[in-house]
Parts: sequence; C-alpha cells; structure tokens
Amino acid sequence: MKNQINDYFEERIAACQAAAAALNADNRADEAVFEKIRMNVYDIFRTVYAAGEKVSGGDGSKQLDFLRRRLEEIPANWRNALEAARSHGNSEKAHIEQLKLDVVAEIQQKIADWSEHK
Amino acid sequence: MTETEAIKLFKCLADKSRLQILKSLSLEDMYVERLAERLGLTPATISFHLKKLADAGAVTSYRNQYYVMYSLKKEVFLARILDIIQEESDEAAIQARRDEEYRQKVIDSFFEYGKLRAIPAQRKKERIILEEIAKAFEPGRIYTEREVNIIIADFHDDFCTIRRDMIAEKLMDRENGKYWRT
Repeated sequence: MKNQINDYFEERIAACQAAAAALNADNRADEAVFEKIRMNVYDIFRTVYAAGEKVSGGDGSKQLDFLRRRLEEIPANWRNALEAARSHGNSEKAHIEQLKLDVVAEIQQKIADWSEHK
Repeated sequence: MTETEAIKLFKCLADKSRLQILKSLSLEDMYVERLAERLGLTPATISFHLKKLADAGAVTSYRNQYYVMYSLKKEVFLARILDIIQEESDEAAIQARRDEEYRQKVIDSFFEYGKLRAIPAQRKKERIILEEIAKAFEPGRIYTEREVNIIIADFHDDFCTIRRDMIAEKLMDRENGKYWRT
C-alpha cells in the first residue's frame, strides 16, 4: 500500500504540473495557478506521508494513521480561512481555500477506498 | 474610464477563459451553470472568472426567478482604445512633480550665482537652460539684437550660440533684426 500511496501522490503532482503548463500555454493563467495550488497540497501530504515513515518506525498502518491525522489537522486553518473569506465576501480567496479542501477530501476518499479494498 | 479601471479591465481580458465567457455573453445573458456546461469548466471556476469580470466592470448581473443571470456591459466595449489611452493619467501630478524636480536639478547644476557655467551638450538639458534664460525677456516687448546680446551675456559669454539656439528652440522669434519672446 505504501507504494500505492506514493505512486498516487507522484501521479497527481505530475498531472497538476502538466495541467498548469497546458493552461498557461492556453493563456488561462488563473486556472494554471489553481492547478499549482492543488499540486502544492498533494506535495504537502506526500511530504507528510514520507515524514510519517520515521515516526512510525516502518509500520505501514501507523504511517497511514499519521497521514490521516495530519489530513484533519493541517486543513483546519484552511477551513477557518475559507469561512473568513466567505464572511468578508472575498470570493477569490474563498475559491482558493475551497480548492485546497477539495484536494484534501479527495486524498481522504482515496485512503478510505484503499483501506476498504485492502 | 480612469487609468486604474483601464488597467484592471485589460488585465482581466488577458485570459482565454474570461474571453470565452464574454463571447458567450455577447450572444445572450447566461447563468453560471449554463456557462460552465458550455465552456467545459466547473461552476466554481466560472464564478471566479465572473467575479473578476464584474469587478473590472465588464459584466453585470441580475436575478431572474431562480437564477442569477450575467450580461455583457456593452458600453464598456464600445469605448475606443485610443480614447482610453488619451485619458489623463492618474500619474499626471506625480509625473509633473518629477519633471519639475529634474528641471530644478539641471538648473542648479548648470547655473552658479546666476551665471551659466557651460552650455549643456544634451538637447533636453539645453532646452531647460534656454527656457530659464528666456524668462529674462519680457513677453510682448520687442528687443534689438544688441539688447538681446546684452541680456544673454549676463548669463554666458557665448551669447551668439545661445541667441541662435533660442530661435531654433522657438523660445524667441525674430524678423528684420527685431527679437521677441514667443
């Protein structure tokens, strides 16, 4: 499963990178920035997952739990930022925070699917 | 349209998705989901672009039953780009102040105790110096060449060059040996 998770992050990061490049080439700079934001979120949790290896002492399920906990903790600030942006009518910022949270939800769903089919 | 508004509009238009939205709205008023379906983008992305377009004054919205409809602000696009360029700059006052500071710097470096130290080699600087010397001539008064030479000689010994250059720069005019400030 470790390889599956790493491959998933690698694949998503590469896909975002390619999408950002294509959007930039197509004169859609703002949407290219959105892809880079999504890519950064995948990259954050790839790093977190890698860091979890040391903490878990090589135990795969502990490493996955470590990632699950961080997937709850790290986006807490993003949820607050989303609420703040919405209450101040800052739709641009709200859109960006929502993008980040959508990526988190996607990663969580992916982990749930893998755990179910393990 | 102010300079700031024009910059915002041009920046906003420099995006293919937003141009596609405007093209769609030029056909008819549309709501977010319709635009999303038509352009193959998510409703969230369409909303993001519409907000930018609305902020730039390119589109407007109104409520129609359950939908918020968006429409093109045609009057914005009827403005000629030349008219926008010719609008007075928000920076005009700042530019004028900078010009005045530069002018004073040139005067300070070429004049010493009211005397011209040297005729500037650069035309722009010489023009400033000549304008300063021209202030010694009363507007509307006719001067003989000798009077002109005496006045200029108070500033610099090479009064011939300065006199000729003042004519060339159209700061003074002459006819039949008579000179006057333009």
